Amino acid sequence: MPPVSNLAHGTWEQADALIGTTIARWTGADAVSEGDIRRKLEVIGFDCPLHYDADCAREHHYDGVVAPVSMSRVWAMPAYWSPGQPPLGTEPMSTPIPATQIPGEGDTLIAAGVRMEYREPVRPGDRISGNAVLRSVAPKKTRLGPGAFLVVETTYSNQRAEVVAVETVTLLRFEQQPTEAA
Amino acid sequence: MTLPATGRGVPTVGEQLAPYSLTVTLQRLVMEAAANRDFAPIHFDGEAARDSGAPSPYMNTTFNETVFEVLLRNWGGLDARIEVIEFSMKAFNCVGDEITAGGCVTATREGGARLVAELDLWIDGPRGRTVTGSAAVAFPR
Repeated sequence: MPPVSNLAHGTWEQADALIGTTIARWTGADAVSEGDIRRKLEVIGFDCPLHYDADCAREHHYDGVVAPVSMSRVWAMPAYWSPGQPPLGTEPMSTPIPATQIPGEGDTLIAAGVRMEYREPVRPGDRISGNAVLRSVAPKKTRLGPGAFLVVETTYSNQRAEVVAVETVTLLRFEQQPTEAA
Repeated sequence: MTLPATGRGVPTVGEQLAPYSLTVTLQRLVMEAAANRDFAPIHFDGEAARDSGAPSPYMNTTFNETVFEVLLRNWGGLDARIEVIEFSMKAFNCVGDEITAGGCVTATREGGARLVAELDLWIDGPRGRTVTGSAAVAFPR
């Protein structure tokens, strides 16, 4: 398996220099849609009418259908490809989240934990933007290999500049080892 | 599934949430990847997953978050406002695993016109307690 193609490479000292700064500010590729919500519900049959029945949602003090809270980050996801860019190749990609832009010394990036604070409902038609700040970099040798824990705080806002969610995610970036891990 | 709308009663410390179980299938992981646009190969490609230290493709962060959302929604009903979900992923939830999410009310507090319940959350699977976390859920008074 070749290394993923979209991780910024550098040193942990370079990453340290970014602590406290905004590492990315962006608007998601798509507006929130009922179709996106429906496709989420069908994965596990999440039969909650707040997410598909506008009348029911209004009875429960919303202005209409709202997205599941666990979709808050979905519509802030950057595109994997945009018009004008060369077509995607065959190399694997990591999810195009801001943390991929933090310079580091490993070839793999995975999430270890997250704290999501949900503030305002996300509704069809909304455009969600993200502002990501690097909070900490902690190099560590883990059971998966040498790497570092990165903490990134992302504030998600809608087109009315209302904060819909604040995400604090802990990511592990590490160098895959040739031997099988546990 | 019928969700409680209103009048579910005041959450009480020590209250256990009805567990929510799910079998992790590769098809579900693929559908979830499409639904949340996380196409990292570790979540659907066996070789990529094994290279990262997992035995097979595994649930991503958003999928774990969704499992907790369903657990909390089933318990709290339609009037519940999920304010916080926080968790650490200790081990992988992989293809073929049957997982069960659970929770327990640890505290209640006044939050303006609402009552806020604080909860511990977890997901158990064949690799033990794979995810641990907490949540805050508000109810209108």
